[in-house]
Amino acid sequence: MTRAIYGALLWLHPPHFRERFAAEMLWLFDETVAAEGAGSLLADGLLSLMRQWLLRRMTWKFAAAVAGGVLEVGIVLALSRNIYSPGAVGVSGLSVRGNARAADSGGLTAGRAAAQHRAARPELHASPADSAATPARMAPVGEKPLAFFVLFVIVLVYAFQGHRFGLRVAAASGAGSAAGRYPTGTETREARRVPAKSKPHLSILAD
Amino acid sequence: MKPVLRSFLPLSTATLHILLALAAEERHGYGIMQEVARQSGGQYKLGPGTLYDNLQKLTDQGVVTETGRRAAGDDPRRRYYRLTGLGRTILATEVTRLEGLVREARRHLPIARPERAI
Repeated sequence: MTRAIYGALLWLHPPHFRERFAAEMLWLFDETVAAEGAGSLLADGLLSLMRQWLLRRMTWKFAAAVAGGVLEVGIVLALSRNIYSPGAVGVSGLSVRGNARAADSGGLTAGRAAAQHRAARPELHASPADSAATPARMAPVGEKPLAFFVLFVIVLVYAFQGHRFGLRVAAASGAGSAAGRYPTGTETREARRVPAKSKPHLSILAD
Repeated sequence: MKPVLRSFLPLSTATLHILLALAAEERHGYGIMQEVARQSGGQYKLGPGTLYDNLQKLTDQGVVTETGRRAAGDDPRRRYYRLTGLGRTILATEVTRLEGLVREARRHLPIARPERAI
């Protein structure tokens, strides 16, 4: 069981690290689990996972870009009277796109950094024998799929939030008008529970 | 000290132990773990995650390199690592730095020898 969990932790590592070291790490796990205990090895694997994604792949840049994007979208939505207006949607889209591009270009992998280091300072990389012995396995760069995934998550969150705001508007303005504007079964049921005279929840949504 | 070496120093505890373990001979991952435990008298133990995270960093920097060595009957998952010329220079510089640090500490502190301390 613990071996399977450890294997899953290894599988979650970045692909280039997994391809290079996962088999060997699993072998070491088998060799040391009796002496070291599964708990400490799992904790070590978890720390390694965090280091690999956050430090070695510079994923913190993605995190910063995503946080920036979410903040910008949040500000746009908070300031707009109608979140479905073309202006709000357009500005949000541009903001998300800008942040995704920033994340995409900003994500410098450790492998690429090392390749740059080799090119800039070849004298530091020892003898020709060392160079020959070192396999040319620079990390395959995978920022673009990740950036698109991040973009997808943001859009998903945005859509979900929009739906929730829609429900609240529907609840505030009465079931009749809501049913026409947001024709979903859930929302209509929710809208019916709220008295028609209730006041809007958010001042920015009040007409 | 050359400015390029300065960027590598000071070494982290894990890195220092790994480089020391590889100073005498080339070793595979498990061999490095055992050697580190031996060097530190069992006080410092490297987990596989910490070890390979450091090995990845060190190979990418050209401090350590993988050798193609395979002993007969060896597990095919084993890979052997050794220090490069740059790795040896970095380790020697770090040891010199630590010697200076210990000298300084001895000058300022009345450090008792371990056997007399108790």
